[in-house]
Formats: sequence, C-alpha cells, structure tokens
Amino acid sequence: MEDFGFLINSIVHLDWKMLVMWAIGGLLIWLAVKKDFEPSLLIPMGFGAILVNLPFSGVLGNNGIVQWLFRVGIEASEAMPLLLFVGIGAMIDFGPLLSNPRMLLFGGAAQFGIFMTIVLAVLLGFPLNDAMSAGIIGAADGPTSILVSQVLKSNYKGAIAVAAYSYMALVPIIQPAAIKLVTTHKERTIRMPYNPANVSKTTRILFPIIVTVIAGLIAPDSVALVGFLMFGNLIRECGKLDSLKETAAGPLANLITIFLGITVAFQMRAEQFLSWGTLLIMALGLFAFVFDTIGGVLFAKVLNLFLPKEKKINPMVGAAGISAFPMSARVIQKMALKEDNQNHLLMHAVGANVAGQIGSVVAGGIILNLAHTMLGV
Amino acid sequence: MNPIMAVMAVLPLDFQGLMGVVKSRDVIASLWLMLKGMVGIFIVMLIIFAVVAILSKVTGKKKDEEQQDG
Repeated sequence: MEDFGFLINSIVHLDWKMLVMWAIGGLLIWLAVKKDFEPSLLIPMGFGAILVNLPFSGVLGNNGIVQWLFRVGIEASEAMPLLLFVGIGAMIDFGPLLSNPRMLLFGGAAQFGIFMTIVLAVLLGFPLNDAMSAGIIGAADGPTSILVSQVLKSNYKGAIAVAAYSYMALVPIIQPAAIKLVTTHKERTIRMPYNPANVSKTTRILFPIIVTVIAGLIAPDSVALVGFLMFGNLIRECGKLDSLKETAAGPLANLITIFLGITVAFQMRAEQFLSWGTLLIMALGLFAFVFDTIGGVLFAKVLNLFLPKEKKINPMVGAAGISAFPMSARVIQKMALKEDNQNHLLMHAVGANVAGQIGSVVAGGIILNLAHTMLGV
Repeated sequence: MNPIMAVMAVLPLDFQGLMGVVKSRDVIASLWLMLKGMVGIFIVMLIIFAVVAILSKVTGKKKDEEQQDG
C-alpha cells in the first residue's frame, strides 16, 4: 500500500489557505463568465490562482512555466505589460481628443485618486513603496499598475493586479455613485454642443511622437509606458502599416493578454496573497477609483467658475478622465441620457477618456520618478 | 530634504496604524508626493495641450491654404 502513497502525497499537503485561493480563483472566473467583468484577464488570473495553489505545483520552481513567465515577462523588464501597451496604442483613436484638446486637462485631474490613496495608505501604516503601488490602482490601467508595483517591489503585486482589473470592470457601478455624490441634477444636465475641429493627418502622426518626447523629458521613467503606448498609436496613424496595426491591436494584444493574466497569478500564491494587507489594498483600490472620479468632476466644476455660460462643461465629463477606456465614456453617456434624453456627451467623454489613458501612464512614470528620488528604487 | 520634511522628521509624531507604525516623515512625504505628482501631471498635460493646439492651428491653416489654391 505504501508504494501507492505518492498518489495522495499532494492531497495530504493541501491546506486551508490553498482551498481559499481556489475559491478566490473560482470567484474571479465566475465574475468574468456570469457578470462579464473583464473576462479576458479575470479568467486567466482566476485559473492561474488555482494553478499556483496546488501542492508541489509543477508551474512553480526554477523549471515551472508560470514562474519562468513571471521572471522573464514581468520581473526582468516588465515586457508583458509594455508589449500590451503597443496593442492598446494601436487600438486608440485620439481623434476626439485632438479635435478638443482641452479634454487633456481632465486626463490629469482624474489622477487625483492615485495620490489621495497614497496618503491614505501611508496613514494606514503601509510603507511608501506599497502605498505608491496601492495608489497606482487609481490609474485604472492594469498594465501600469502591474508595472509600477513590480518596479517598486511591492509585497501586494497580486492584490494590486486583481484590484486594478476588478474595479475597472466595476466602473459602471462605482462612477455613477461617486458622480451623484458631488453633482446636482442641474449640473448633470448641462449640454455641450459637439463641434469637432478637423484633425490633419500630420497632427495625428506627430501627436504620439510629441507626447513621448514631452513626457520623456519631464518624467524619464514614463518613457517605457508612454513610448510603447504611443509607438502603437504611431503604427495606427502613419497609414503605411495597416498590417502591423491589425496585428498589434489584434493577435499581439490577445496573445499578451492570455499570458499576462496567468503570469500575474504567480503573485497569488496563498502564503503571499492571504493577508489583511490584501483586503486593505482592495479597499484602497476602491477609494482610488472613487477619488479619481471625484477629482475629475470637481476640476470641471472649478473650470466652470471661469467659463461663460454657453461654454460650461458638464462635470460628468471630468469623471471620464480616468483611464478605464471605453467603459468610463459609455457610463457618462448613459448617465447624461438618463438625466436628459437629448444630451449627448459621448464624444466629449471619449476625448476625456483617451486623455485619461495618457494621464495614467504619465502618472505611473511620475510616481516611478519620485520613487527614485525618495526611495532610491 | 526640504525644510518642512526636516522639521517633521525630528518631531515625535509617529503612531500605530493598522499595518504598522505610521511615521510622520512618511505622511509628509506622501503629501509632497501628491503635490509634486499632480503638478507634474498637469504640467505635462498643459504642454501637450499647448503643442496640440499650435499644431492644429498650423496644420489646419496649411490645409485651408491648400484648399484655396486647389
């Protein structure tokens, strides 16, 4: 009988923490399948959470595929999140922003939650590197969150990735509540006529180059993030690389997405993931999303103090300055139509939303820059 | 280190938080981070805004001229 002991060797080494992680993995898969929460990432992450929490799991260790993917794809150079940015850049049409560039300001204002969260995390007793990593959940941008928490060597990388993607999927629930908290019905019904200016091809081509140079000169650490995003966009806009554009926005982004989720799950090993800190990180992530939204809305309200009546901005557009693209823009459009069925804010919100994409990567770069000087990371 | 941080660093204002000791030095550092971070983001966005506005004007004008010539 002893000869067959190997058959139950793993089973006897199962502990309750592993079972909890299986349940968490199952919950992520359920949320993705039943509730349509970011399925492309939550399914690989949920399955990965089960995979890395099997006793003596063959995907871990020096020869384990998940550990290798993590070491090469994320730890060594953050290659996976950065390559995904090429695909994202190839998907984004900055046209609505270029025809109405003042929306760029909302892409900055709606990063406020990041910094509020850092302060709160420090007040809870998190060390600065973990606090900065928790704050970056507010970038509402999965790859940026993964990259910053990795560079800052946070102890909560898994929780941060899960929070970033989960709350992005929850934008339709979080944002309306936060917006209603700080706006009146009258403000939500402000109409904004849409008169887009013509955007020349030269502007479209020069935009990604200029953004990269400006961001790179002011926050050199943002070059990888901004540069790869804008490289993807240059491929899209140059008009000469249609085949590469299709590949970057399609197969490349899909391939990276498949493996990014399962690779991030390496950080979801029970001994690392199950802690009070993880619960607090999840709560901080929610706080970050709420204050991003509030930051964008309040900034629009401040601008309105100085704008003539016919040029007033619907403050809800400010909330679209978070990077969760395109969910946030859709949420704003839906809310605007609910308040006034003739008020179409979609294109303004899309402009603010793509500005948020730029704002979030710039915020990530600035945090890394400041971490260099403050923490020597 | 800036003067405010230097003063705070020597003040005995540390207290116990949920996740560990909260150092007054870290709290001040996080507030500075908020200030520098938001100012930094706005500077980048404002510069991009200005450049895009100029670019749109220049390339728009060129397009108008081309249309008039045609």
